[in-house]
Amino acid sequence: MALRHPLTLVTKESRPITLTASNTCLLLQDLHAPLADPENGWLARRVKEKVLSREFDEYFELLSIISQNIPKVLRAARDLGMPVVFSSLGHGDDNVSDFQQATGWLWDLNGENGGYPRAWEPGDGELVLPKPGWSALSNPDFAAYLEENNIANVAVMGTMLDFGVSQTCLDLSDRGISSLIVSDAVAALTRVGQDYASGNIAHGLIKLRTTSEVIDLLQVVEKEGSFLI
Amino acid sequence: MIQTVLGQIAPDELGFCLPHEHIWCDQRFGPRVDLLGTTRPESTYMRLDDFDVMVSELRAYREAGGRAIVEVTCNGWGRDLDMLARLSEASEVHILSTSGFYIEPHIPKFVHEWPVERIADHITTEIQEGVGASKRRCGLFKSAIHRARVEGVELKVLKAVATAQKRTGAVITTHTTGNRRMEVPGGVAGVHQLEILKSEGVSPSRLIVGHVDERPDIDVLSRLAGEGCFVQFDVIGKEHFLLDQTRAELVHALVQRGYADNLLLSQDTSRKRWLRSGGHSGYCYLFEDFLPRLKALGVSDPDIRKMTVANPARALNIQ
Repeated sequence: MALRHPLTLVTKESRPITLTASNTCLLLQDLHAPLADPENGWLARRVKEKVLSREFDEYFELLSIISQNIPKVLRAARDLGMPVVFSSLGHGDDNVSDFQQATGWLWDLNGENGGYPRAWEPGDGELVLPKPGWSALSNPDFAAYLEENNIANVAVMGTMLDFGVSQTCLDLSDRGISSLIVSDAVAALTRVGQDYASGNIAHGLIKLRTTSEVIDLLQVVEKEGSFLI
Repeated sequence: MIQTVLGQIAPDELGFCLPHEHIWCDQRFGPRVDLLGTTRPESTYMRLDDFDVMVSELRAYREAGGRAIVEVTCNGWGRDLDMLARLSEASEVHILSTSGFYIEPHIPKFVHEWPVERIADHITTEIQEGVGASKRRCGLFKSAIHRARVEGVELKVLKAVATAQKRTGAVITTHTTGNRRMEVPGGVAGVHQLEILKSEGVSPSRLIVGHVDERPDIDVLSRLAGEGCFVQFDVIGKEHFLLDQTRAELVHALVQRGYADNLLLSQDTSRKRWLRSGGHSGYCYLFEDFLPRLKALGVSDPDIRKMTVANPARALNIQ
């Protein structure tokens, strides 16, 4: 399905961004078990209970594809010494947000819902944050982290591209921080949603690069210190 | 003289020409298709590979009044000059094949390894001596960008194409706007390419800036035309980029600004679903839809003839 984005005809060019190992962090958003475990995660179990599995086929297909790509980018970022942050919908204590109460997605990240697939489990010293709403910036600790560490760019991988990842990128733009979405390491709920969210968010704001492109550019950063996108 | 896959013809023999199309291609052959991402279904790749179907499509184009097509598939994703020659003979449509290279995912490995001068020698040979055992010659060069600006191996190709252009006189056609087409307005990348080519000594009159109608900005297009470049509306019919009525109004406005001698029109047909056999107009869309739109807006027949006959002949004439 072809989608048209007429706003691109009147918006300016996307701002170039310069990536270095220290001015950029890699954000893994909503890649915890409830959304990213295709067998036993909350979403997988829920759709089976509701007899809705076909409706989520495209999501799980996309999840399967991005599951091949996420570890590659994560490894490249870690090899480079780029900071990695995990931000996951849920709560770390009894402080359930209004958003979570409204949606019923009340995951206690201290329990099994706080787990991650083995291929991208958080490493020692990597920041793991609960996320009370769609955006990673709905947790003020993430905003504080970005400020304290002079982060200018955030590279994003994750699920819920059409909700959470998009909202994070827009909120980052509001703070003058650039986003780079790894376009084949994010999954929307449907394929059309993937195209629509990617196309809409790209105009004048966000850059998208594929896994192979990101790995290539991180290799340039390793050799030359920076890469202009 | 214009160089087709069947030999040289005089410019006035060219006739109605679509200057940016694909007839025989398979995007899956790209040595770095991984750069395009893995969430993309294989069915979305550009692919035209059925001889009988393509002959039928080309004959329909000829019956509609078409006489020539520039096939812009480069070495790296299925360019086949012998196949193009067979198609040209069977359909009686002049076909030009293209030297140079497409975007990074489709650039052969040797281009990464060779210096600019050696690449220039290689593509000069494709114009002056021919390709492969049959020595059929290409008629123009192509340079493309995948990123938002000209850099890396694509910059290397552009510089090699500049060198080869000056040696041969053949025109350069470009693929612009980058792989993330929402990032850069159409034509902006063309301005970047033009600046590099001018610094290498290439005349603006030897540059066709392509894909300007994906994300057009009329001020940028006027600047390119004012410099003497050909400005090519070449995704006509692809309304996921821009409504054809808007395209027609932009062409009309550029004609009114005095740039009829700089405009080219094409469709960039590259997938089976755009063919007549796929339920669309194939290579006949200009005849069936777009040219009537231009006429309805008041674009004159002589100006339409410039854009479809005289300008392609002038652009493709190897000087």
